[in-house]
Amino acid sequence: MMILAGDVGGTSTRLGLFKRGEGNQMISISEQQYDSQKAETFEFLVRDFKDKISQNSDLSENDKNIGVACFGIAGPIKKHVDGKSYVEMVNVHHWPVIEAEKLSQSLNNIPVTLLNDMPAICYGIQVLSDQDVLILNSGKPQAGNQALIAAGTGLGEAMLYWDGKEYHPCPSEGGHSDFAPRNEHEIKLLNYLLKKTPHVSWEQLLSGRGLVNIYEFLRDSNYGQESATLRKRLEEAKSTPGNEEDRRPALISEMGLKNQEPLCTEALDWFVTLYGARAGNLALQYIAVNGVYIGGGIAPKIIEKLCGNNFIQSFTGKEGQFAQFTSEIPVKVILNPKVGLLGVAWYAAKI
Amino acid sequence: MILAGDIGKEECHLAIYPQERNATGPFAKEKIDNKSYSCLEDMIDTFLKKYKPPEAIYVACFGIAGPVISGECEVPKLGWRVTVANLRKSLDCDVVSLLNDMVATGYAIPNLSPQHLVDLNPHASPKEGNQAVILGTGSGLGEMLLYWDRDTFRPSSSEGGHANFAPRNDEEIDFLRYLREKSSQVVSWEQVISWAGLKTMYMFLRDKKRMKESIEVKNLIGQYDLEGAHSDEDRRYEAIRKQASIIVEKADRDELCKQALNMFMSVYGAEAGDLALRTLAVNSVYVSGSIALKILDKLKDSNGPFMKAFADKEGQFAGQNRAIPVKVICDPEVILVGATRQARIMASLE
Repeated sequence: MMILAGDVGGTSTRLGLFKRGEGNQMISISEQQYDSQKAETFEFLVRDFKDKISQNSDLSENDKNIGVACFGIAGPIKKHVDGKSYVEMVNVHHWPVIEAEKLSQSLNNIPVTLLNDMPAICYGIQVLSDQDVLILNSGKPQAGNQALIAAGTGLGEAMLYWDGKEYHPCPSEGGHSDFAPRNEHEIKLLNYLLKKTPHVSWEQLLSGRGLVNIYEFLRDSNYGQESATLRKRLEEAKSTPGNEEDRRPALISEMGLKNQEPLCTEALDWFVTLYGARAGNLALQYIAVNGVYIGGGIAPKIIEKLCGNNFIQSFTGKEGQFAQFTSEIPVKVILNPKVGLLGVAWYAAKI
Repeated sequence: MILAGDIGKEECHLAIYPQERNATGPFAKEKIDNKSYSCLEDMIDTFLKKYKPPEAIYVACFGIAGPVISGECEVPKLGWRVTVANLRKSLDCDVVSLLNDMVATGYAIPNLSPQHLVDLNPHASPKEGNQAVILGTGSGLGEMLLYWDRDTFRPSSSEGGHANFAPRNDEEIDFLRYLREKSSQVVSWEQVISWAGLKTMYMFLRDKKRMKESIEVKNLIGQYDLEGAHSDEDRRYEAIRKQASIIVEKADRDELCKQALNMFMSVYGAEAGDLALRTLAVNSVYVSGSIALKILDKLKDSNGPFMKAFADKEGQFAGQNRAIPVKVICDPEVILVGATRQARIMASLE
């Protein structure tokens, strides 16, 4: 039986046709990436992909026989009173509500499941191979929980509960819990942001917008000088009313990685240090003795920085015996951008 | 028969129950001082010989005040090394389980009677989903998640008490600075939500915020200062616990004590609220432990600092937390209840 899987995000949508291989392995038969913002509706993409499969002469009739579909979507999954699920995609304003039932109808009434994107990544972690991850800390893995932290547009966090046989994704809104500064520098950062907003959550630091917040704090607090060229480029990179993406986080990390602008390098170093501190808190909060996974769109782009000392130092910078405890926890960066899609396919194969 | 126990640092609470589907009262139950025994096995042996249960022990489960790793626990400060293997041997019973006291609290929840739960949130509307427990013992801060798998709640313990303290305003930021100056570089939640934390808040408001200290409270607290600096950790803790108790007891009449306690409750509520966010505990949050019992009257105020801070989160999450039922567990036998329930589950009675 073939599986139609989808990873549906605000920027892009990946659809794929899968079948189950040996053990946990998911074999991809056909995949396509779409620009979410340019699509009229999500259903339109699903129909387009389905048509392409049926017209593909390289595929056997068996390969075209989709038996189940599952989509991981960046939005909260809700249920109608009749139990049928739906999602409102907040990041793609012009899309109508995604309805599981309607999707099922346009796919010859096969079962359709909607998943939130964080559990999708959690399932994906279970099918990753060694080359899909980069190890930041090998540690001493033990049977037990895992944790996922994923900075991107926002800050996603999840616990993977180990029941002795398998992992259950436990979604979390921990990204909206309060930021915990650990020294005078970080206290200044908190003070700076408290002047702008009543609540400073971790998401306001560990996200694309967060990197901009850190940069602006450093600039406004005399940690360095903003060059005239950079000022101009940052101004141009701001999002416009026409719903265009804010390109400032990408610009700051690019300049920081190239060491072209000291202020950007400084901002990236701070970002990585705070990322490590939060990931360490998560390791304690979830007792993630089997491993902490770093997902999200930002990590693969700043991998050189994550491999430096800052991340792991703040990851293990906990009180007393917990410095040792966290140092024994494996930390891995997810490099495969298809982790969500793989997770969705695997989940669909299980049901 | 079923044997259940709460293994504390100073005393144990043991109970024997008949192995019947309908839960009944205990066949025997006793609180026993640890000092008279060199190990748990001896204590249990004496207990069983005294009450002579008519049938053999088929299942045993104990909640214990320490971390349980691979069926073993070294009880802090007690010197006892409790292991499942030894208990199996001495009880001649195959089904023995050792639970951390936090996990035992989690297991107890479905069996707690409503009279032992004090509701803090009149605006609550519980949803299907996870539960969480925050347990403040005065010296430690335990946290746990009860993960709802759509069939049952599965307990998962946490070391969240050792994660970094998150100040939310100028006063709490100054307090963090004060703590860093005074003692440690790394400031965890446990250092703040504990009796020592409350006492430090009192000193902070007095020394840094220039609040006036009354002679009466100064003298009351001062009598334990010497003891509070003692090299023995137990004696030091006991003195600090007494000083913190004075602050709680004087809070109605003394402005400095009142402000310190308000600050304490606000920080406690903030972390309980963050726990609810990170575990998505939309079904309920339970507050347990001796701190909550001591300040229960103050916690009950639904417009007070605890509940206010619990819901004071960004954006839509204020509303999400405001709808979560928050309950204080007032059953002094909660750990025994949890151990008993787990024993009954293992005996396929629940």
